[in-house]
Amino acid sequence: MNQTKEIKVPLDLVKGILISAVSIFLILATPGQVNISREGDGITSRTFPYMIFGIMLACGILFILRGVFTKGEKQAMVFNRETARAWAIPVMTLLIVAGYVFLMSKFGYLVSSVVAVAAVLAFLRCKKWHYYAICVGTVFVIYFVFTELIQVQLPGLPF
Amino acid sequence: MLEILSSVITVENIFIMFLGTFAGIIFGAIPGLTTVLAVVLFTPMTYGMDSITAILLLLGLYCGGTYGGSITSILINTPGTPAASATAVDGYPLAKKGMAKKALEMALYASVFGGIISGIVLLIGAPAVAAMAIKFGAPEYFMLAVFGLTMIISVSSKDILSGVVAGCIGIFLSIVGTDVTSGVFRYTFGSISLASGIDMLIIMIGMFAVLELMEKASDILRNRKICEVSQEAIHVTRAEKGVNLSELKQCLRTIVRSSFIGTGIGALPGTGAVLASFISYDMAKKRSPRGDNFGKGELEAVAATEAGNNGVTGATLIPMLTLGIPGDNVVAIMLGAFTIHGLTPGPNLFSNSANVVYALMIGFLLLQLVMLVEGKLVLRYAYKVAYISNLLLVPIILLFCTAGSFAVRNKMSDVWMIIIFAFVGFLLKKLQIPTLPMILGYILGAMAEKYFRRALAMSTNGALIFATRPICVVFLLVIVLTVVFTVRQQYKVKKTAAK
Repeated sequence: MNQTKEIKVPLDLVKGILISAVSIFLILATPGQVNISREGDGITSRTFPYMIFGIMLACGILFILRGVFTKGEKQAMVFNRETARAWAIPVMTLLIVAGYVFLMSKFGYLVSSVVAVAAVLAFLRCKKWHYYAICVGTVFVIYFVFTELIQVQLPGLPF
Repeated sequence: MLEILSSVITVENIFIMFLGTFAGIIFGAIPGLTTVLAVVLFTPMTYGMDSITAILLLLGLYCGGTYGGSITSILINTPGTPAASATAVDGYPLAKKGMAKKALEMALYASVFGGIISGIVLLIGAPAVAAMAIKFGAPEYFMLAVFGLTMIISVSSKDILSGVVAGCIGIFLSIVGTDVTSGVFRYTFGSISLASGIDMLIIMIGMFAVLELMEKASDILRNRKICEVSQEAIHVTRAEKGVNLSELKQCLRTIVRSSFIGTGIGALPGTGAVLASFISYDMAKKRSPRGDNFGKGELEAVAATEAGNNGVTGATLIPMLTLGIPGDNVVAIMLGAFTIHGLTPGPNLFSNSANVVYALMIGFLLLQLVMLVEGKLVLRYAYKVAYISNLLLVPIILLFCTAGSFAVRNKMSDVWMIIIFAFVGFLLKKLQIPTLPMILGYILGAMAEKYFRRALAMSTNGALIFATRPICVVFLLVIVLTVVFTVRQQYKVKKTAAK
């Protein structure tokens, strides 16, 4: 029988650990990230952030406690082949977007966008040529609308 | 008055109103695209526009989007927006009975009526609230911001704790950059581009628009779901008759009642059009002599839900314009757009930019008429957009996202930032942490901190200042009551569900 490996972790526990970790990191980073002239001045630029991170940490701890001590059926985060796929496609899409932004910073909006729409359509396994044509046409329309009609500049050509 | 009218009724504004409403109807009609997305994608296009024209475009998108959802609800039983879900209950059975045109027209008339009532309440109510709020000092503003933040609890109905975390993340994002009080950099992690802070639009483009296209791409590759619609549309023929006067008369009482329900609900931050349409439906069902027929295809039900959800649109602007508290996601983005155009929502908006505010309120009423004209023209064909392939939408949304994010401040770093926020949004979704509280936190967090520090600086008794000023005490009581009531209500709901 073809058994797939599956890991189930209570959702509250995952949330709790992540939120606690982020808030502890931010609390520890605060002295280096927010410079104040003197400590103990009462209300400073650090006061409010500390309050917010304190609340976040408290929520994180409550999530962990809820994840550990709640009886009965708990909501779980499931990690298996299917969920890996469900995570992989959006992340791959985001990587394509990152590639597009990198190209845009080197070659400007027009060139990078034409390449990007073609890449996205190919990634989505689109075989209809007219979809490619419509998207490339849209690139030029958007460029024209932004730069000519509403006078908002977009990254130009490198030459 | 004439001056205000002449600033609204210009050829450019009329064209923009038609364009905004049309685009709104299209976004509303396409299942999977939302009014939020429409406003996020169009906001960067308003940078070169005059402030009135820009806000009218966004209001057109908002009103058109709220109405547009009903078209696909009725013709293909697929609500274009969540607010139109209740419309599908009776709208689609009506369409199946061959009364699609009647249902569509009733939805349009009820939407326009709901919008007009809401606009009138906005015109009368907003200045009154602003006049009261003008007396606020720093302590009152702080309490107001805290009151706004308590809305996080009511919008996080599924899990308050997750809502609070989202709110805190939003507040954190709002404090990144230069501290306006002391001038020091906060959480810039050595990046100069973060010194001017993170623009809300960048967060919204990343978390809503880029995330949307990531999910659409996933749907396409995993299920080959290239179109959101699975059912065949019911077509409207030319011979089909529309709503007649006696049918309109029969539904008038329901339309008026539902419009006021929507307006009342819209004025409360954190409620929204979905709630308004379902409450309106329920009230209409209880009060109508044809209540038994609801759910089987009743014109009055369509009138109730559409008047209800469009009644929300104008009223939601009251807390935003007068207090700077956004009622929902769409209005939150609009609040950002106001700031971009040099208008700071809050009580002072009415004294500093009275002409612009009144022009917008009058423009809002005119938009309803534009929607009536445009709705009549497009109602037979608008459903076709629901069949636009996701394969086309994904790259096109992407193009708008990158152009829009660059246009915010002409910085490539902002375009990189949308990728980070898309990933954060993706993680939050997987962790079931809602995003609306985050937006509330972002908007109200900065306000809360600024006035908290100012209030304490002017106080001789420390934090006691918040308990000694009458308006602060009222806010304190309202905050306590809101929190207790909401938590109790949610506890009851959970207990009932457990049983």
